Amino acid sequence: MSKSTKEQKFNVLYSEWVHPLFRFIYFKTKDQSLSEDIVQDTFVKFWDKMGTVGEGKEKSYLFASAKNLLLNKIAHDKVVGVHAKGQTESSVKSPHYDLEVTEFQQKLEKAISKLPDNQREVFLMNRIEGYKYREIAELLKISQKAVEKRMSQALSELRKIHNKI
Amino acid sequence: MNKINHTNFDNDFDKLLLQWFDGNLYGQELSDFEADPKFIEYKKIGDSANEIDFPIINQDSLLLKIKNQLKDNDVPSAKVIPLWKKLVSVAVVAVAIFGVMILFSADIIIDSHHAIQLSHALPDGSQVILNSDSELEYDNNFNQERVLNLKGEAFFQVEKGKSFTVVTDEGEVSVLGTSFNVLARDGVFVVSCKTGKVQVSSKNNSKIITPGERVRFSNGVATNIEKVNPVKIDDWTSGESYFERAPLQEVISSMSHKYDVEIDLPQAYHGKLFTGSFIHSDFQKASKMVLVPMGIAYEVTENDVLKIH
Repeated sequence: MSKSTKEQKFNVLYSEWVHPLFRFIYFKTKDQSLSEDIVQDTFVKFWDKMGTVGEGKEKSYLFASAKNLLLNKIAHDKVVGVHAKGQTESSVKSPHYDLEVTEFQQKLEKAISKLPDNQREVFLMNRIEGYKYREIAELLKISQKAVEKRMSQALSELRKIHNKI
Repeated sequence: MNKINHTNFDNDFDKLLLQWFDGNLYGQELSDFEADPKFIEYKKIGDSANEIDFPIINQDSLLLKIKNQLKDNDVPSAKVIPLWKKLVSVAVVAVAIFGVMILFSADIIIDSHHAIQLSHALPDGSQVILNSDSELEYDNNFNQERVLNLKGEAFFQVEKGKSFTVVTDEGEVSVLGTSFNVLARDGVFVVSCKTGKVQVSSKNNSKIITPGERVRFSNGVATNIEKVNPVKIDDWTSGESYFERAPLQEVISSMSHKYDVEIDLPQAYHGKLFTGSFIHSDFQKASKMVLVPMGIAYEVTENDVLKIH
């Protein structure tokens, strides 16, 4: 592969996956700058490995790689405690967003940010990315049963906000 | 023991609920389930979750970081090298150090190539987002004197401190600590203030603007100060350029810089005012967003040439 063809291909895959990958990590960590770092490292690594990743396998490679980098980073920095506190509130939102947002929406977002990481990740991948349980299972390298269980737990937890309003 | 709190619902409901969220219910089963009053609460959760805004990363500036890192990684690591090669490399290092010295004593120039926008942190912690095809220059004692030169368009978020001055061919902008947008290119000089207070001067004319105000100079003369939506001032930094009563030639010029294409706007349309926006990711759509509302006939050919009739 010539350098410029490689770069072109890289740019296309980058534009296609940069946002889904960022959200994928963000759903789990709720930490914007950490997620950005992971995405950066994922693509740096991907550049070196591009020749060995088969056509059509790029997506699962990228997600697996991002997930591993995150796990390594967590093991390395022991940052779990730091971003378990939930930084969702400080996330960037358009200024008129706050006015439009309903009380229910606020409660829901708070409840989602308090879900265990594993459940939040599955719930948001389903809702925001529109992934099927089967796809989530593939990307997270867990069984579909496990995905369903986490989704079920997330839903029954989130349902409780109806009682609080 | 079942860990999930199922007290309110039977297992059948849970199974159908999971299927619903997976988009796996069809026909009669789907309509029966959606009619179930217990389901309404979950539907609300599902629908509202779709509305959540998540932070968005700046795709272009991250790509730039990635490419810089790849460049750094390209530097070969130490190996055993024959003596003659070592001598050559000493010479190369000498040249490199000399080069770096030149770099240190020279101005720092940030240049956004065509169709790329980039974020840059200044030495004092202020942030600049440079639009496509623009250039920013400052020297290395910037922290002593906050002065920089701009060609093109940029949005500034200035840290509080001593005065901060942006010099352009069209005029100067001075502030203390604020955020504002400067467009200075091809005789056009437009400054919009998002927060704080901004002093704009061109030739002998000077104006102070406050949040939500925009001043436009032509040939050193300020036109009236106009109200703009402060929220929209830096919209172009997030993938879409927004205009409020802007002369059409300015909009077309901005498009042509963004997409790195030549666009010829017939004289008859100059001075027509445009309010609206165009996106940065698709030239065809961008053309449509500008020209359709203006009722101007046009065509975009296959190789992205825009012809305005």
